[in-house]
Amino acid sequence: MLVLAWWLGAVTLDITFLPTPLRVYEAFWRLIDVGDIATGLTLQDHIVASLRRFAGGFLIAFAVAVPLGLMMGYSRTAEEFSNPIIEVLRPIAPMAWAPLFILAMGVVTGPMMVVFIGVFFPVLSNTVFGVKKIDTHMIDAARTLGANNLQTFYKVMLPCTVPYIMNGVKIGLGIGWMCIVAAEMIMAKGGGVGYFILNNAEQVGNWPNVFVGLIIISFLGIITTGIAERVHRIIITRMGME
Amino acid sequence: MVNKNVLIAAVVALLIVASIGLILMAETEDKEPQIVILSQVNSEGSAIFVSDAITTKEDFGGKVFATPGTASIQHMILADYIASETNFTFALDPGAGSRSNNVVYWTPVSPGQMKDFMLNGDIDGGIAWEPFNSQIISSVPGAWIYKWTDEIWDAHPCCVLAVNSKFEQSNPEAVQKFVAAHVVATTWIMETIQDNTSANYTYMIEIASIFAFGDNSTANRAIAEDSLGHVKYDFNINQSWKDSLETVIETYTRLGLFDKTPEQLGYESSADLVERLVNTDYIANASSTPTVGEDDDLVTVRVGWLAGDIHQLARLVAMDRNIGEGLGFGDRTIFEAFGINVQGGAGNPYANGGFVMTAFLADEIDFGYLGAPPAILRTVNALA
Repeated sequence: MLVLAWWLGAVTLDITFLPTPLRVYEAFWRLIDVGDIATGLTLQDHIVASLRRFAGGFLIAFAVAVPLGLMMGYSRTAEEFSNPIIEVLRPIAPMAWAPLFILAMGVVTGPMMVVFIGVFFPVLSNTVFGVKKIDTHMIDAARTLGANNLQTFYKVMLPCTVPYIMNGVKIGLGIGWMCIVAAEMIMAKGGGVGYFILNNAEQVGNWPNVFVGLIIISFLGIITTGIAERVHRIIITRMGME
Repeated sequence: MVNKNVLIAAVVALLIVASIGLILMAETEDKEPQIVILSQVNSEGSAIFVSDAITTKEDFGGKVFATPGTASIQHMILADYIASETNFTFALDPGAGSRSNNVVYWTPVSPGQMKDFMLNGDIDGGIAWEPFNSQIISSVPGAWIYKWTDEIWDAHPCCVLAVNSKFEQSNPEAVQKFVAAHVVATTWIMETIQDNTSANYTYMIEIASIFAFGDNSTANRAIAEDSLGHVKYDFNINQSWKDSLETVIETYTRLGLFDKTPEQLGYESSADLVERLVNTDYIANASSTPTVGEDDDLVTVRVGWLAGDIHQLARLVAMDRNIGEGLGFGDRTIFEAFGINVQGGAGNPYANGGFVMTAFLADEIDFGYLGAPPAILRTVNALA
């Protein structure tokens, strides 16, 4: 129905910026066959470039946000120390950092760091929330059974927080995709889906290609959040939390 | 009594069938280009500059060149030069570590920033409009001009004055006035540039320097003066210039950048498309267009132009009150003397012609100064 409505809209409105699904389909196969002539790259090059930046930013965010969130949730001192800094930085939209990161860190790391900001805060908040939601009786029981601080942390707190972390990951993945595409539109070396869309829209004026880019982002977003959802399901099933 | 669900299903099915029918029956109407090219602004005036790491075209492999963007004449000339004069391919820079010596890489950079990119070692060369080539060779140690673009393509088309075709249809008088002002301004430049001892010449260099660099320091004036010598200012449209537009169309067709070729769009040939895109009537009538009285109302028009592009000096001259006064228009600019009040379009000035075309298509501007290639590329793709 969506495709039909799109098609009908494209035919009746007949505006440059809205190609029919058939033209977008043809553009997709042409891109597969001959690549993106305007940049000399293939469609796969653009996708891989975006995925690399996205994965880099996501992994750094995950590696920083999860330990920090666990610490903030576990230790009141850590929370009181970190919270003011976090609360000052959190309201700043990830894209607001883009020009600064790109100039300071270059066109490869810069866009990656924009993804980092986009993913970092949802993962951090959910991790802190997850630690705080742990039933204190479980911690008491572990300590009564002789677990030291480190064992309590690894055996009780970390596993109980995983479902919450995964919720943060799912939110962060969605925001991360928005960030990488927008950051690539500001500046990125080696292409990227964001750059592909911008170049086709602003320079070449090839709107079917622009729509191919939009559909690719949608698919990549669905695939990545789908993988996260699957991992989440496996974890909560194995932990008996369903 | 008819089942309610059956009724709903029937209505939905009817809607789907009707929609499909509409889609299948819909015939694309013949679309007209959204812009009309009214006049030349300049020809030539761009260059390929390189660092001292490059001495011949054989050194281009694995190097990164800045261009103002895919749709610019500069990008087209460089892409075509690489394709026809070297054995390298031409591709977007993937970043350090992923480059091959068989490829010449390009990266989009606004010409105003190319000097800094050269100084930082981010690029090995580039292609830009004046005055940025002259600026780079005077500011970046070792940088030199590999080729001026007229050495690659003599008298190649560059910037044009274009108007939104809907605006042209509804406001032909305003268009005529605008073109008349543009002709007076360009004529003033063509005459002034002949005598480098005149006060007008000194003033022209000053305003060009301020427009391009934000100041008229001695160094920047020298660069501006040098760069003016590389640009050919002219408003005329003759057959040879139209032929050069055909070459642009054929180059884009060969490079595969058109979504549909002019022939697929229903034009008989590139020449036919050029005839539909260009209207020389306004230039022909410019000399007989009268100025308006000082108390007459002005027509406000929205205009887009490129950032710091000295090719578009005519726009600057036509908006300068001192020059207007010198031409006997009283305390008015040339545009005002012809009854035109110029307002910068939203987002003005633009980084390259692609953005000017976007402003045209989004109905943000009525007139635009931009390169002929982006005007053609975006217009043809908008018709597809």
